[in-house]
Amino acid sequence: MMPVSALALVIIAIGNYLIYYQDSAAGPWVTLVGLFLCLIAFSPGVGSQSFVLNSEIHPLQVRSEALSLITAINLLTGYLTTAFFLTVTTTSVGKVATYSTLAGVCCLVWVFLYKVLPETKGIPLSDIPELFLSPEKKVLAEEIYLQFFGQSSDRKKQLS
Amino acid sequence: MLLFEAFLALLQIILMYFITESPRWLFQHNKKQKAIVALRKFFKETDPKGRAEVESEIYRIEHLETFEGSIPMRQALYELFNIYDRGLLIGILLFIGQQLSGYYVLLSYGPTIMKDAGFGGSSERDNIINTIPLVLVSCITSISTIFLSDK
Repeated sequence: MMPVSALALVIIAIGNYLIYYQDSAAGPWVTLVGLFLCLIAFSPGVGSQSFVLNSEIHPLQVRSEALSLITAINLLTGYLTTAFFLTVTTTSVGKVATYSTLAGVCCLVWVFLYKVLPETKGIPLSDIPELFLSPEKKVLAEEIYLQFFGQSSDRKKQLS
Repeated sequence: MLLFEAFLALLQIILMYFITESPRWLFQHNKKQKAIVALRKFFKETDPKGRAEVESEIYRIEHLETFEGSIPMRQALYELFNIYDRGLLIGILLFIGQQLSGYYVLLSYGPTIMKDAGFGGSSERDNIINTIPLVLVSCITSISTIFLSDK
């Protein structure tokens, strides 16, 4: 749904452009469609899936630390976006530019996530973090696991 | 309006006392009896299936999971940044993407954006009423996400 978000933001930008530069009657309606589309794209897409994925991709022993850190960054980004939004959208150039920039960033994040995210369907929860490890890091992780828990992580899998 | 929200916050504080502690945490701190009581609250006791679920959950926590999750924080942070850094990066990007998808901004500044787009009313109150459709749409899609998310 990320590309839909980006598309919606582009539509809002076009709507604002029509209002301020072309003085067109269609402008408000284009903006309205963009607004609705953006809100619709959020919930099934990045709005809910970022929570689901974040609870899956970290291994159990670091999950609490990882999630606290990520939540802090999330709220910080939220503060920054809401704090600067009103300032940058006071001028008509700013309005068009802001929505376009947001759309561009959305596209970039989407492309990146599309490349790095594997399908997690049907994989046991404890195996998902390993999907992100390179071979040498896998060895390192196994060593640390042995050192701390005195048993190989494979033994755990046999038990379950 | 603010008074109403204060009331909700008060309600939350009161309800906090009824939240059970995490069964896994209790197991880790050797409070097995308490953990079982907490675990029972999550399942229907009258249903035989629910009872079986409690049993298997106790077994799982006891034999498979208690040794995990209890490492020192420094070690956890070291592992997080040196081994599982890719997952961390993805997590951060997901949430930055969430913020930059514009949802929160559009909802918080809904009245202003609608007014700029030419749907403004004569008073402040009209502007706020104009954003009700936006909130309704996001409410409906949030509910429909329940049926879509596992696809």
